[in-house]
Amino acid sequence: MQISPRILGVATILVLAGATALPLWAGQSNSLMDISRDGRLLACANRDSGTVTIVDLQSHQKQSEFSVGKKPEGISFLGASHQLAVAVYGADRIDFWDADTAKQIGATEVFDEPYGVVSNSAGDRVFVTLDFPGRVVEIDTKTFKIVRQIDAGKFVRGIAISPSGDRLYITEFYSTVVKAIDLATGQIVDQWKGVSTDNLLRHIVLHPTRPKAYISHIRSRVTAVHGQGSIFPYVSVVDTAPGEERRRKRIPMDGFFSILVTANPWETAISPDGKQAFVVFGGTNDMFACSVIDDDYRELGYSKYLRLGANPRAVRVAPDGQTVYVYNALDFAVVGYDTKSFKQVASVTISENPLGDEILAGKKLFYVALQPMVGRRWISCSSCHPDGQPDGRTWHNPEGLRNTQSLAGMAWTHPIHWSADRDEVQDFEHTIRGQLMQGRGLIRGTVHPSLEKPNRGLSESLDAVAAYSNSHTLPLSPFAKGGLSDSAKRGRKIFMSAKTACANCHSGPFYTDSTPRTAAEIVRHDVGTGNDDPSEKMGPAFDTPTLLGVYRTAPYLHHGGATTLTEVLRKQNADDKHGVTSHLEDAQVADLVEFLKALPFEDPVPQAKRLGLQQVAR
Amino acid sequence: MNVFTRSLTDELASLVKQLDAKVAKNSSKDMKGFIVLLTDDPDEADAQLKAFAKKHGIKKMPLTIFDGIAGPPGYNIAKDAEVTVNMWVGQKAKVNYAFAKGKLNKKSIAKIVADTSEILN
Repeated sequence: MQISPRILGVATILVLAGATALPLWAGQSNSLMDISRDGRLLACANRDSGTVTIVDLQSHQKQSEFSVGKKPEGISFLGASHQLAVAVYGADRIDFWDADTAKQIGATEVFDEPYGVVSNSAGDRVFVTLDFPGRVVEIDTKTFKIVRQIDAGKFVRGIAISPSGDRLYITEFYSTVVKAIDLATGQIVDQWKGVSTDNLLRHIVLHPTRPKAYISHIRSRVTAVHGQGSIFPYVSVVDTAPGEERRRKRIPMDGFFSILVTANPWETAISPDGKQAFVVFGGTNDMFACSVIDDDYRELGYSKYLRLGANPRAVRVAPDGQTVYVYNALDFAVVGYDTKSFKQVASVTISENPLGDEILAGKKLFYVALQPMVGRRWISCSSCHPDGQPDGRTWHNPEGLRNTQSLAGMAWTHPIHWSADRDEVQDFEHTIRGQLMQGRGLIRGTVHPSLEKPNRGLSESLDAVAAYSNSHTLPLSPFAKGGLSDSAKRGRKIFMSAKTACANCHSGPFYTDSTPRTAAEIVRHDVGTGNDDPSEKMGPAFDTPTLLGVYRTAPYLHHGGATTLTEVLRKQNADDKHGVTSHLEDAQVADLVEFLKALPFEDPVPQAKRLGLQQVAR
Repeated sequence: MNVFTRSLTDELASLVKQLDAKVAKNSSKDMKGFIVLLTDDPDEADAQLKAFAKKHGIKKMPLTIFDGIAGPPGYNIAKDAEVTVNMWVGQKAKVNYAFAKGKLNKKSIAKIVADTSEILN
């Protein structure tokens, strides 16, 4: 008997065989792009440049570009106006701009990580998702004041507002749960769950007339580490009308058009007449144009396959339905296609490369699910490390259970992996060529075993991947914006005390004794968790992870066995091998957790430089 | 031949066991087949399918999962078909059956199994 996850490749045979339209307006669903209601302007948020570009859609010329801050992740015109709201993820701020004059008109500080932004029809309110801590913020666009905050879940990214303006639909990035929020009460009134392995849902778009929402996401099948068995692409269709049965349908995008595999679906757009859908894939750099089928069954039909540029991250259809625009994020370009002939009708460079040639080259390789990185097209580095962040999953790797780690700060905290089995990013040539990615690889000639002779310097492309991977920096904790709280200060004393010995291993500016060094000098510690997992092959001693940013990186420990920091200290440390914490009162543990959540409360790099710590550039 | 199903029932087990036996008996004549569970919950389906195969001793016909209840686009699985059976030789369809929920029974199973003769060379 054989059980396989797919039936792709079998011979294809044929067997057997509204609602009243409400007006569309700009900014109904979150995206890096938006088009003004009159169809004259396109606004694009450039994550890498920290800018917003305005494109005149009559001439297809860049009209202006202005700086907004680090990592703008969402943009929305306000109602019918040419005014804009921009969610500046890295600055914890919503900026308001006039697109015609390129002048800032206001700003609103938020707690942390604003991601998606939508406007109501009148343009007097915007609604913003905060990825962390999972909140929806309502802002009055006249006063730029926050008028309401709604706790909406965990890692809330996608957001759409219903055509009637009475409901928000939001998505959780890791769980992929879709929730409906009634705007009259601010209550979550409905929700649609996927399956436990569904992952990375950062967008939602509504059909203009039918009770449907479209979400693009992946499935992280953590029990299989294989190029054709780990990551799968989907569009799911949510029935937003109340009901009991089958309210979320899965449409695999790897068998949607014959046996063509696509990777990392990032965004979907629906045409204003509701008859076409467009899905962009950030891994395979392509797009499906689809017909929307009004059958409550198959939902989408294949129309056209288009190859795109590097890492398409946004797609929007013009209000007249004639042109679909795609943002190829790593080409820094917006490209337009005729929605009937699918011929290219526009290409606009919206920003200069702010990354430098090497990091850009490495970033393209990190995101792509094509050769020489990937042989089977389903997976890229970014499938599990989206934008350098973790994927919230614990994988059943050949060496044992491994919770995906953030890449932030990695330049200072080599060696890499829970088992410190790699001392340079270039050692991931083995992963690229291995069964997970099955790529041709980037090195010509001999690849040295990990931890032995350096693979650095053997391939410019591989060195570029390393340069990009090592470029992720650590944002300051939102829990320390006003400095350490009294509780965190008490926790700091406990952390630094000789009795708990936390700081013996979680030492230095990065709160780890894992620093770049020779293989013979690598330090690993047995913290009592190495024997929990019978599949473990490399434990029981592990590399010390940095504690910077742990407020947002649950689950914890190499096997993901702790869902909270309190569980790390209480449930997973019975023998006091992971610091001495059993004597602590509950209030002391709470203080300790408050301190951990506040990390980093200051930029660790200046101190690291003062101490002469080594930073790995590539 | 292939069998698309949206549920794992006793009737399906009876059908699949008999088809599995036919495939085993006619392996020298290149008869092959597979079963596809159409599901919106591939996580659950994995375990369900393994248990189904073990319980009913399915040996020759691979049991597979398709993520998505509508099935692969090219197969045009009918919306209300709980079980769909296709038999073909090369690219030419020879036998097609589709059963609504609860309509697969002993009589229809016997007819399907007998129809395997249609695809023997």
